[in-house]
Amino acid sequence: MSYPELFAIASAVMAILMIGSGRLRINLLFYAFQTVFASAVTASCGLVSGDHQLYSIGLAILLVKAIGVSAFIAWITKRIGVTSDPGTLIPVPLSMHASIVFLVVAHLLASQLPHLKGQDHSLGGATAAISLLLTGTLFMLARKVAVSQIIGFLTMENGIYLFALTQTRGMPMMVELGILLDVLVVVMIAGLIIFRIKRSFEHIDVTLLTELKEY
Amino acid sequence: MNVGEWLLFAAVLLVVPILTAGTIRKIKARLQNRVGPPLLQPLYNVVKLWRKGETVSEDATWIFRGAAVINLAVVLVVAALLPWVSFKPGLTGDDIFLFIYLLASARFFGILAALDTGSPFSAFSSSREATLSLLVEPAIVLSLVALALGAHSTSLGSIFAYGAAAGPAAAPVWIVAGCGLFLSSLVELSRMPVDDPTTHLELTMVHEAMLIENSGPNLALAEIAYTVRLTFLYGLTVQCFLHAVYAVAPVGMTLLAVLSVLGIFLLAAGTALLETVTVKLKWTRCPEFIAYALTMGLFACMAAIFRGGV
Amino acid sequence: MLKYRNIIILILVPGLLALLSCFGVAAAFCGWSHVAGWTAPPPVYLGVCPVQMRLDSLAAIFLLLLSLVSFSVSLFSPGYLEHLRGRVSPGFYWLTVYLFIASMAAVVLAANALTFLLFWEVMSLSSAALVAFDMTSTQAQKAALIYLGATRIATALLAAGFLWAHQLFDSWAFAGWNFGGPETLGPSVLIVLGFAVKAGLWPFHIWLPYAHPTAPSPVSALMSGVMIKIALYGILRLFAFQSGASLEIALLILFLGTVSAVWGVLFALVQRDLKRLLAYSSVENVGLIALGIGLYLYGHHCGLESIAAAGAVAALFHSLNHGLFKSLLFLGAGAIDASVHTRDLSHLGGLGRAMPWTLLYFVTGSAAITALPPLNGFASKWLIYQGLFQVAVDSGNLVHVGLAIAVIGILAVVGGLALACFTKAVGIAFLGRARSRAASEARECAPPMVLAQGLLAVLCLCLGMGSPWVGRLLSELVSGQFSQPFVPELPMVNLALALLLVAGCLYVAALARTERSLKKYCSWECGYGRLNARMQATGESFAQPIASLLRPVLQYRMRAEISGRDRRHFPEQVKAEAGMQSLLESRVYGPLIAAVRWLSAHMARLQAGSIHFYLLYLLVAVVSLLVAGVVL
Repeated sequence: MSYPELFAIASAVMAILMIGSGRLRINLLFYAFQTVFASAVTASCGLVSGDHQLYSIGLAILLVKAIGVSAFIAWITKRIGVTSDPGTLIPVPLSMHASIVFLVVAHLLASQLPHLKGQDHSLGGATAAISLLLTGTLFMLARKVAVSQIIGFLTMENGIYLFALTQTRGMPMMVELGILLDVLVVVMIAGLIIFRIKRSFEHIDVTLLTELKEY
Repeated sequence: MNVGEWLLFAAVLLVVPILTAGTIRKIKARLQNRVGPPLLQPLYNVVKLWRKGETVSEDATWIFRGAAVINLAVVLVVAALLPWVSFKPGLTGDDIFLFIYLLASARFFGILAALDTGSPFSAFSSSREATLSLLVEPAIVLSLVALALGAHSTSLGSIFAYGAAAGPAAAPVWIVAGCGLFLSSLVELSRMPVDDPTTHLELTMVHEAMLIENSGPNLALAEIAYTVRLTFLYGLTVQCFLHAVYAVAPVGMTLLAVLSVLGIFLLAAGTALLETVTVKLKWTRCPEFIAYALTMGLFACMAAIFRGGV
Repeated sequence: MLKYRNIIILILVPGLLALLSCFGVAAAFCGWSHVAGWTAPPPVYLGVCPVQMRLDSLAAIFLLLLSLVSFSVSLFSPGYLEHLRGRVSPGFYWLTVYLFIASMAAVVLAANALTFLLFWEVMSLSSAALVAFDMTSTQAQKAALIYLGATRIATALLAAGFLWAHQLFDSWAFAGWNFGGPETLGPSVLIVLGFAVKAGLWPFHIWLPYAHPTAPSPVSALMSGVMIKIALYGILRLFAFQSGASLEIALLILFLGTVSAVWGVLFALVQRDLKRLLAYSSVENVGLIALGIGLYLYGHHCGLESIAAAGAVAALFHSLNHGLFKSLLFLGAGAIDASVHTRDLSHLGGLGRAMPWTLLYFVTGSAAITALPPLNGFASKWLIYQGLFQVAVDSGNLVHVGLAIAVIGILAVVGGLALACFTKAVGIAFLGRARSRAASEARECAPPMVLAQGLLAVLCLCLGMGSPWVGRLLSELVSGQFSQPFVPELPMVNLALALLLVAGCLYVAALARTERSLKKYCSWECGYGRLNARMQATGESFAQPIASLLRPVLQYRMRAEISGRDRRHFPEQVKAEAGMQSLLESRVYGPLIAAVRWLSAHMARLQAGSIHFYLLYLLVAVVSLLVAGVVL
């Protein structure tokens, strides 16, 4: 197993560990770990392929997503005073075990993919990417609080990023940085919206959004 | 069988449990800026209790006193079943499922003894003990099965045999399974995140409240059983981590034996640290913590399967 | 006159049963090594095939189990009937029990499909009569109806499956049937479902918790210990010991077995009625046996001998074991019932001091069913674990490996639940303080009843200690198909001796000294005064943490009502009520039964009461049959 694959799998594992806790701080911590591993994948891809642009992209991910975004969301949660998410439908621990099943499913799916690079070692990367995607979706589905929806979205985004990185030779630096900026802006806007929701409704429970429906 | 090895094993089994329990208390006290009891305090306690008389509830049957004896006997037999580095003491057929169900039988009689006195406190705690064991059982089983998958055998002796060349690829399985076992042992031993062994309120305790009616020699037996259980569960965890070390860099048997004993004290120190910085979880949050043990077991199984090249 | 009658009922009738049971044991031992066949002489004939019996080693195992259980039932029944005096006539009881046992033996020995079905029906109806023995209570009426309904469905499925199989193989003899090929999927599914209904596998288990508690305890022991095994014997006979089954059937049985194991023990845990608890736990154990059978079929299909061997031995061994310890537990529940006249756990408690022998045997049975070494339950559960582990090691298919590991995890949960369930049963019924006046006046049951339980308890211990030998015998039985038999190599004797030795030394060293000077005092109650019985934990409160964890499955609800002026600090009245219902009954069977009712209410219009209408129906039926015959 090569280093990019190892880091990608570690990133998927961090996402699975993230989904097992109902506390937003722990979720954020594991999100940060997961993104650190994603940036490690980037850097090690650079090492393998000799493409030095990947180092700087990795560094940018580390700074913006792993540290910046996590700190920003942590600050939001502190401001609005929400510390934990009770979850909906599926109990929180069970969703972690379900996402382990998803990891296996992701492996089965990934082994069916036609290999874009024609190389064996992209299998682990694809597995991790699909698993991150599924875990992110499950996280958004199984949670109640709007902050969790952002974290779930970011996890999915990590999955898409890893898929692109490990299955192709990577995108040009400008595109990558543009996407990074987009993510940053999305998180900022989502954060602002959460403030507004909190102020208007005094909660950020997304399951109660059905109240907005007009009869 | 080598008499020297046997004597060494017996000596370690005699000394290490008491010292481990003492170490946890001492380090915890030092971390909280207290002087703490002497290292041998558990031994003094047992000796003191041994000399005392015994009071038994009027409602108790033979199960109450019988269970204390059966518990310690089971725990000692289990300790003799588990392999220690290359030394396989005791009986043949040291199977992982036998190990797990022997632990279950100790729990069975523990719960019955707690219910025997009709005390509501011990009934509370025994019902919680049953719940915790239900949650933690699959975690232990899966962690051990992951290791067994690597060895193609469910015998503890062959799982924990230091093979010729496992290679660094085996290390993740051992580490993850070790983490799973460590988290499970914290639950199994009623340590901090799920149960506070030092609280003063009977209603919130699990392990200590189950022993609320025990006194004198009966209580001494229960305390010895606890320390022995602590030692072999930590010992098993340490063996896992040592295997990970061995997979990367093979070392000699004597060094491994020394390391395995040192590792138990290291884990004890880690427990003390953990108990200083964390608080006891609310009862309804415990499943969330235990779920991580099960997750470790599942990851270990996956690592073992993919290493096996399915 | 009356005295003679008493002698007959109390000594001769049970004695004869005991004698016949001994004969059954002897026959079973003969059947172990020899195959014996018997065909009924000419006037006895079933239309298309003769009444045929065949005793071989597979039948011998189940005959042995039947004989052992009926022997202890014969010891237990006279004392138990005392308790039912006035509610059941001994003549009726013994006649039906004889019929029930004889028909079970005949089902096991049947060599062709029609003989099997004939005695299967006798078995179903005689047991239904025993369930309905006390028709004055509405509970018994309901139970008997549900049980009859279940047996009808089972027989219908079996009959359809047998007919279809006959169509395919052109033979009524079981020996001529072979369910290996893909064209046999239809009849195999029908037959497996028919047996699953009778065995009480999920989701067809709902009759068990109604029928077992209402029947007299010795009959429950026979039903739960032997009768539901006979349905599994059917699966073994038709699929496992002929030429295997298709992969779909194996996976179906594995799935049903796994779900039954979890479902059964989970519902067992939250029951209040001791016999209902035991009935649900039978669902669990039937699931475990089905897992063994499924493993055998899976291994056989995939050509993996080690899995097949472990599965076959596990299924047979667990059938034997469960038959013994479940009968033991039902007899224990019967002893409680005879002595206290209730089985409701919230009225029991503290029976351990009045009934020390029953306590000892009940603890033995509970430990065995919880699979604690060195008792027999552990040996067979270990074999199931081994079979699953072999799947994980050998099968080479990622999905199957993952599923096998998942099932191992689930079995661990089942083990934990069983532990909670049976510590609750023992702890609440026998330990602590009596929760009712009747429980405080309990007396140990009559010596023959104690002896009956003791016999089964000793058998449990013996099978556990001798598990390597029993395993070897059982695997020799199936060894015709395997190159290397699978033997449980568990050091049970060494283990038991070591435990005994260490425990003995510890007792002498620590507790024997203080035995004389033991002080008795009341349990700790926070200094409020003497602990009364109502302060103890109840069965509900013991099961509450687990039940609330698994709320969605159990539909568990806890309502607490606290009233009083200052309800926070000085509550005057505290009411707590726990409710749960079976998801399956409320969501699936309820609507189904409602639909059938609706349909039958509308169909009832056909029954107009006019003879002319009926003649018209007849005419229409005859004409349509004729047309169908011509066209097809």
